[in-house]
Amino acid sequence: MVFPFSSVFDFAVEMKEEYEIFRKSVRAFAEKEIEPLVKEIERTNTIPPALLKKAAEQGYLGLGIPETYDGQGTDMMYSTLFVEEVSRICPAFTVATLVGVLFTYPVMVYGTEEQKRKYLPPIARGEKFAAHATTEPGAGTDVAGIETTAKRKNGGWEINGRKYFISGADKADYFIVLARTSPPPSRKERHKGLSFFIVERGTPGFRVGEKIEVIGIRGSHPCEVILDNVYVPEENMVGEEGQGFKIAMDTYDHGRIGVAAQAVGVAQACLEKALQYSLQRRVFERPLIYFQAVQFHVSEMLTMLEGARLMLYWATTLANKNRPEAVMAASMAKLYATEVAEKAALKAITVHGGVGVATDGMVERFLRDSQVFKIYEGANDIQKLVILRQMMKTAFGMDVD
Amino acid sequence: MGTYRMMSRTMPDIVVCVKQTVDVYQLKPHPETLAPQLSQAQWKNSDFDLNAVEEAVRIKEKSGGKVVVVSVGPEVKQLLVRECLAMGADEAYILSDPSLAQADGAATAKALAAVIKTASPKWDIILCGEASLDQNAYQTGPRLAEIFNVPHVSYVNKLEVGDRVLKAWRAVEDGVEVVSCSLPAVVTVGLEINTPRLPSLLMIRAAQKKPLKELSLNDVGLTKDDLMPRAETLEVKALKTERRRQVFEGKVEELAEKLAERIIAHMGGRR
Repeated sequence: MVFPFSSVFDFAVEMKEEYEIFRKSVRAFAEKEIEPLVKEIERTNTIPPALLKKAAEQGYLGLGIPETYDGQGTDMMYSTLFVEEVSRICPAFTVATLVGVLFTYPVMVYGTEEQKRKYLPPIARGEKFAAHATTEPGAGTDVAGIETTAKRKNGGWEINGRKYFISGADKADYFIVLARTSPPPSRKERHKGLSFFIVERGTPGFRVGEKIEVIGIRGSHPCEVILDNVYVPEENMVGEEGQGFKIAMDTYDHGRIGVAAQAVGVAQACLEKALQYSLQRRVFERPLIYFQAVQFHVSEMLTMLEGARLMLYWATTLANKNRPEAVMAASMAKLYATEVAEKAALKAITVHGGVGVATDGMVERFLRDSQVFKIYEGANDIQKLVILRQMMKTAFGMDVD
Repeated sequence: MGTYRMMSRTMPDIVVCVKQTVDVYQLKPHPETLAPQLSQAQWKNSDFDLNAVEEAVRIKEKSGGKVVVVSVGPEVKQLLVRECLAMGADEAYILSDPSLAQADGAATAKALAAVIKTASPKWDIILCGEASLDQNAYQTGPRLAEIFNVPHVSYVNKLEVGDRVLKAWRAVEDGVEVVSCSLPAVVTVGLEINTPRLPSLLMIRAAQKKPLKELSLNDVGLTKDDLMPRAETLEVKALKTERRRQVFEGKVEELAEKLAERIIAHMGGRR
C-alpha cells in the first residue's frame, strides 16, 4: 500500500544525461573556484563579489528563470544539483542564489509583465542581486505576526517597519518586502491583509542596517533592514492587495527543496572527509577504518546520506511534474536531510577526534551550518505541521489547521 | 607575415581526437600484485585532449569553421563525448569496438583515420593531445600525419591559424621553436596551451541537440584484423616507492644547506 500516494510511480526519480554533465561541471567549478576561498569566506562572513561574477558567467544565477527573461529556463533538478554540489564545498555560496529565488519566484508567478521584464533579466544575468524581507525581530515562523505596515499615500504606499535576518541584504539591489496593508478582520484571520512590495535599494528612507554575526553558513551575511517612511508607487505591489500570506507560503513551499539540497551536499562532504581521514589516520599501527566503531559511523553516515539524497531527488522529480504532493515531499526532504546533515557532521567530528573540533580542521563548520538548515526556510517543527496538514488535505480533503 | 593576413579568410574545419581513459589520479594499485585496479576506475576525457578541444573551439570562435570530435575505444561513453560538445564542439563521431581494448598507437591511429575519412573527409586541421593520460605514448598525432601524408607539428603551446597556413610555438628542450606549415596539418598540444573551459549551463543544454553518431567497424571499412596491435602488453604494475625517512636537525639556515647537499649528491653531483 502506498498511502497517502496513489501508486508506485509516485516514487520515481527521473534523471537525464544533461543533469550529470551539469553536475560534474558544477563540481569542477566548486572545487576550482570556491574551495580555495572557503577559509576566507568563513573568516569574513562575506562572499567575494568576483566569485559571484564567475558563477554568473557559468549561468548559475539564472537557474529557474525562463529564457524569455534572460534566464536558463531550467527545471528544478538543475537547481537541486547545483545547490547540492556547491554546498559540498561551501553552502553559503548557494544562499546567494537561493535568496534570489525567494524574490524571483513570487515575481514570476504573481508579478505583472512589467515587473518581470524590469527585475528578472538583470538578476538572471548576475548584474543585480535580490533579497526577500519577511522576517522581523518579532515574527519569523509566524509570518502573520509581522508589524511592518504599508499605508496608502499619494497613489502609492508608504512602508514603515524593521526586518531582521535578511540573507544577502548587504549586496541586494532589489527587495521583496512583506507589509500589513489592512488590519486582520479577526484573530482567526490574522493572515489576511498582508501584501508584498518591491523596494529598490536607494529608495529614500530605506536602509540596510547592522550585519548579524552568525555561527553557521558564514558568508550568507544576514542583515537588518530598516524601512522609514519608504514610498513606493502602486505598480511595486506584487500580486493583489491582501494576497501576501498566500504568496509567502507558496514561495517557501518551493524554496524548501533548496535547503534539503544544501543539507545533502553538507552530509556528502562529511562522509567524504570522515572516510578520507579514517583511511589516512593511523592508531595502534592501523588506519582508523579498521576499527569497528569507526566502520559503524561511516556506514551509518552513508546510509542516512543516500536516504536523504533519494528523498531530495524524489521531491525534485515531483516538483518538476508540478504535482501537488511535491509540497509534502519537499517538507519531508527538508526535515530529514537537515537532520541527516547534523548527524553526519557530528559523526564526522567524532571520527576526526581533535582535528574535528579544531576550527582550522574545516570539519566543525558543517555542524554549525546544519543548525541554520534546521531553522531557516521553515523551522523543522513547522515542517512537521506542513507534512501532516498537506497529507490530510491531499488524502482526505480535511483541514486540520 | 602580417597579423591581418593570418586572421583572414580560412574557416577551418577542425577534427579533434579525444581519448577516454581511466582517471589515473583516482587509480589505486592492488596492494599485493601492484596491478592497477581498472574495474573500479572512473573514466574521463584525457586531459591533453581537452586542451585540444579547447584550442579548436578558440580557433572557431576567432575564425569560424567547424569542430568535429572523434573518439574511438573499446567502449566509448556518450556522456563524456557530450561534455566535449558542451565545451563548444559542433558534432561528434564515435567508434566502439572491443578489439580496441588492446590497441597500440598504430591501431588507434588507423581507427581514428578511418572514422575521420568517413565522417569528416574535408578537414583542415587535426588536433590531438600530445599524449594520453594513461599510456603516455605520444604516438597518435604523428601516426595520423603519416597516414594522411600531411605536415605534423608536435608539443605546441601556442597556435595561430591563418589562410591555409598555421604558425605554432613548440616547447622544445631549451626554449621555444616557432614553425609554420601549410594546411592541412596535424597538431599535438600540451597542457600549457590553454585552460580548458568549464561548460556553461547554456552550452550544456545546447549540447543535447548536437549530432553524436555511433559508427561500427563496418561503417568505416575496417575489420578486427586491421586493429591487431603490433606490440603486446604483458603486464602493468605500479612502481613501489619507499621514503628514505632521513631526519635533519639543527638551525634552519644549516638545514637548508644540508638538504641541498643531499639532493645534489642524490642527483649524481650535478648542479
